[in-house]
Amino acid sequence: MKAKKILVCDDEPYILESVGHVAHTEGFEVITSDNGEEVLQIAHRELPDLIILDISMPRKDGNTVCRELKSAADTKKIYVIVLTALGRECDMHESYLSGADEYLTKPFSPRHLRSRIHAVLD
Amino acid sequence: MGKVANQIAGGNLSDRVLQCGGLSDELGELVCNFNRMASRLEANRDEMNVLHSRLEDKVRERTSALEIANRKLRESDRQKSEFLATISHELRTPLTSITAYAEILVDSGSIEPEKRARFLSIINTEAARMSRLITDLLSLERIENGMARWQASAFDLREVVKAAAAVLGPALAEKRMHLSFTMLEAQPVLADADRIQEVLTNLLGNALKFCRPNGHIGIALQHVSASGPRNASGDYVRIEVIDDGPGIPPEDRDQIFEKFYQGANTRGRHSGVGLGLAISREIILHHKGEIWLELPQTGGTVFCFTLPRHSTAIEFQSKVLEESYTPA
Repeated sequence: MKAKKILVCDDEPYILESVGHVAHTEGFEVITSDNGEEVLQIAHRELPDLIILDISMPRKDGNTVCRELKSAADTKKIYVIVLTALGRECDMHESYLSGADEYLTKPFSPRHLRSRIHAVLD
Repeated sequence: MGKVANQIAGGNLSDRVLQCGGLSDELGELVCNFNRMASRLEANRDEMNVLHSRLEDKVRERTSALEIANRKLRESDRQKSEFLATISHELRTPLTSITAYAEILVDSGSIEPEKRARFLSIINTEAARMSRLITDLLSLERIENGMARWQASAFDLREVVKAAAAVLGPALAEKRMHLSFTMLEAQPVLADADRIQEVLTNLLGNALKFCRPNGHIGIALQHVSASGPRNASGDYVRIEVIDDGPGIPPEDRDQIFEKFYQGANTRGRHSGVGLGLAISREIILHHKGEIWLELPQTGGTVFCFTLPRHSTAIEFQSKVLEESYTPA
């Protein structure tokens, strides 16, 4: 069976690498991107099974990306886990209103992220 | 008189009883006193009106002062929450890497040695970034609140330039950067040498960070007669840190000296927390100098700052110092 695809987007290179490492060691195919504009292009092209998305990013923030993903026919079914340092309740509401399926805050536990990835994809 | 009394009772205090000539009897006296009473009443009322309107003016004045103060408080409150949100985000970012990689290392017994070494070095780097953020924040906070201790001494600015360049020597060498100085004459200043060196280290560090390997950084010192953009006249030393890097995009230029501003497209790509230039500005302003940005047509970036030149003669060795320096 072909490995499921996870697209990870974060503008902080070390965080991007750590999330990518977690997904990769679980046997998934991982694509990474460091900005919101690129992640949309990749999402339409690759149609991943899961997107792990940061919110505070230059050029295009994660909530905008999420709204655009959820309003396009080909990408609206992709499960989106928001992974952000914004921890206020209003930030979480905004992401859910933008269509996020799940909201995790930084600092995050790779153990917990791993179990969430499996819960969504297995 | 009855009619006038009625008018006065009704509030019209300007009516008077006409004296029918030569009334010297009791009635005449009564009319006279009645009119005097009416005049007194009128004068009192007028005075009261004046006081009343003055009081209203004062109340209006105070109210608007309070409104302004209130607005300022609300604004400073808003700034404070924004600041806290930014700090918490800036602290969380390195903390996220530290905790994530630590947990990954704890959980993975059989990780490749190169990966293990890389993750450990990331933890190290990000811990240093957090620590620098806290140091810079405290330093900026102390300067802004006037709590910083300054130690002024008279020195030749060329010495501090050399010291700052020496601190960055290894990093410059690693990136094979070429550093050159144009410092023809002694530039005496009365300032806090450590803080001025901090400014120079920040500016040189930025140039180093954003330039391509094998790039060029120049430092030029010059005796000038104005403070910079504000154009205060006087004896100043102008210091330029020139690089041939990518320059600074127009959308970043106005905010580059603001706290935590890292440039719309540079965040995350370069280490740093966005406090270096804010601290540098505070240091230069404290010394009554100016700091600003110039972008030459030919590309690259020039950061300039000025410091008042120390007028009293100090014995400096006025040896000619124009040399190039390529770190080994």
